[in-house]
Amino acid sequence: MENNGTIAPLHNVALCMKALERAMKRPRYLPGMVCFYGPSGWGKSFAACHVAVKYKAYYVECRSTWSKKAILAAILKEMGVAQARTVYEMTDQIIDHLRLGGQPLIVDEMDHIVDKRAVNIIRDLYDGSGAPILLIGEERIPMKLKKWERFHGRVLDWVPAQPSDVEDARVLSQFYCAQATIRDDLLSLIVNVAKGSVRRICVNLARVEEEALGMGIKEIGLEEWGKKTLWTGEAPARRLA
Amino acid sequence: MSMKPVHQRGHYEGRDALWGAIRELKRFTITQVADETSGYHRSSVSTYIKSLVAAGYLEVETQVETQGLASLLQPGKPFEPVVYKLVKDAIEPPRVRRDGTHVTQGLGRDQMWRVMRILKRFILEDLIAASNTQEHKVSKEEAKTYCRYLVKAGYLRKEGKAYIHIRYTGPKSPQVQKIRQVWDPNLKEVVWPRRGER
Repeated sequence: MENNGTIAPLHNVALCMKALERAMKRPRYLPGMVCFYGPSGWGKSFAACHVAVKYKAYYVECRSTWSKKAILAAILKEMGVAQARTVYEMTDQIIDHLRLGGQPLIVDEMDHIVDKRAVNIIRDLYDGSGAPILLIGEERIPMKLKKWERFHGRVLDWVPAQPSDVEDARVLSQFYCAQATIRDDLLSLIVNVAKGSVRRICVNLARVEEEALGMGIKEIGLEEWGKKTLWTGEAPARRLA
Repeated sequence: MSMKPVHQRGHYEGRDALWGAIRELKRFTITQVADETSGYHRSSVSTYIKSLVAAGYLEVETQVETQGLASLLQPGKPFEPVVYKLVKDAIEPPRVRRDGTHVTQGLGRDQMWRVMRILKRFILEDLIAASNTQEHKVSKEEAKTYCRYLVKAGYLRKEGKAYIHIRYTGPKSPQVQKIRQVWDPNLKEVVWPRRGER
C-alpha cells in the first residue's frame, strides 16, 4: 500500500487533504477557500498538520485575543518575512508571498476571529492572492460565517469532519501500538469508549500495547484484556460504599 | 576538501543570501544578484540561478523568448543581459542540483520542525505519525535524536513522555551538526552548547 506508514488513510486526513486539493486544482472561476469543521477532539488539527507538512502550507492557529494586526503578524512570522509597520503594508506583503509561493494557507481555530469580526482580513488575503485557503473551525462555523455574506460566497466546499472509527484506529495502531496486534473486538471497544476522539484512541492504543508487552503476548483481544479500564477522558464516577 | 561545518563557513549565508536577494528583487539579472550579495563569485551565482530555473523556481524573461536568438546577435544592437523572474516562492533556499532535482537531506528535520510548531505538545509517536508523508518518512531514531537535541538547546521541554514546544525562532529548522552542536539558521547562531554546557 502506497500510504503505508503514514496517517493519510485516516478519514479526516483524507477529507481534509481532498478539500484542500480541490481548492488547489480548481479552475480559476471557482472560489478557492474550503472549510473543514467539526467538534473539538476529532483530530481536525492533527489532520491539518499532516496536510500542512505534505503541501508545505503556511499554518496559523488563531487565538481569542488576536487583533487584525496580530493575525497578519502571525502569518508573516510563519512565512519568515520581516513585518512591515502598517496593516495595509502587511496585507500586501502576505498577498505577494501567497501569490508567488503557490503554497496554501491554513487558518485553524477560525472561530476566534469570526467572533472578533476579523474575517474580512482573510477575505482580503484571498481576493488579493487567489491562493487556496483552508479554514478550520468548530461545528457551528458554517452558521457563524453566514453572517458574512461576501465571505460565505467565496467558500468552495464545506467539509464536516468524521468521528474516528475502527478503520482509523487500525491506521493509528501502526504508530501507537506498533509492537502488538489488537483484535477487532478490543479495537471496537477502544473506538466506542473514545466517542470520536483521536487523542483517546491513541492513549488507549498505547495502554493496550504496554499491557500486551507486560503479559508477553503479541496479539491481544477482549479475552486477554479482560475488565481492565480504558481511558475515557471523563472524571471517574463517584463510588459510595 | 570537505565542507566546513555551517557555522564556520566564511559566507555562511551562502545560498541563503542569494535566495534572499532573489526573493527581494523578484525580477533580476545575474549581475544584480551578484551585486546585491557582494562577495559571491559570478559563477556561483550563475550556477544557483540556473539550477533554480531547471527546478522551476525561476523563469527566463528576455527577448530570446519572443524574438529568437538572432535578435541578440544583430550588429550594432547593445548587449542585453538575461532577465530572470521569480515564479515559485519558498521560505528556505531551495536545495537543488544543476539538473533541477532536490536534495532530500534535512527534509525529515524540516517536516518535524513544522509538526512541532503546529502540535505544540506531543509525544514521539504523534511527531512521527504527523511528520511521515508518502514522499518522505522519519525514523523513530531520527525523531528521538532530534528531540533530544532540541531539548538541550531549549526549544522543547520534556514533561514525562510529552514534549512541549516552547521556542519558535522562525520557519527554518534548527540543524544538529555532525560535531554535536545545534545551529539555528533563523538566528544564524550556534544555540547549543553555550559556553560550559554539554
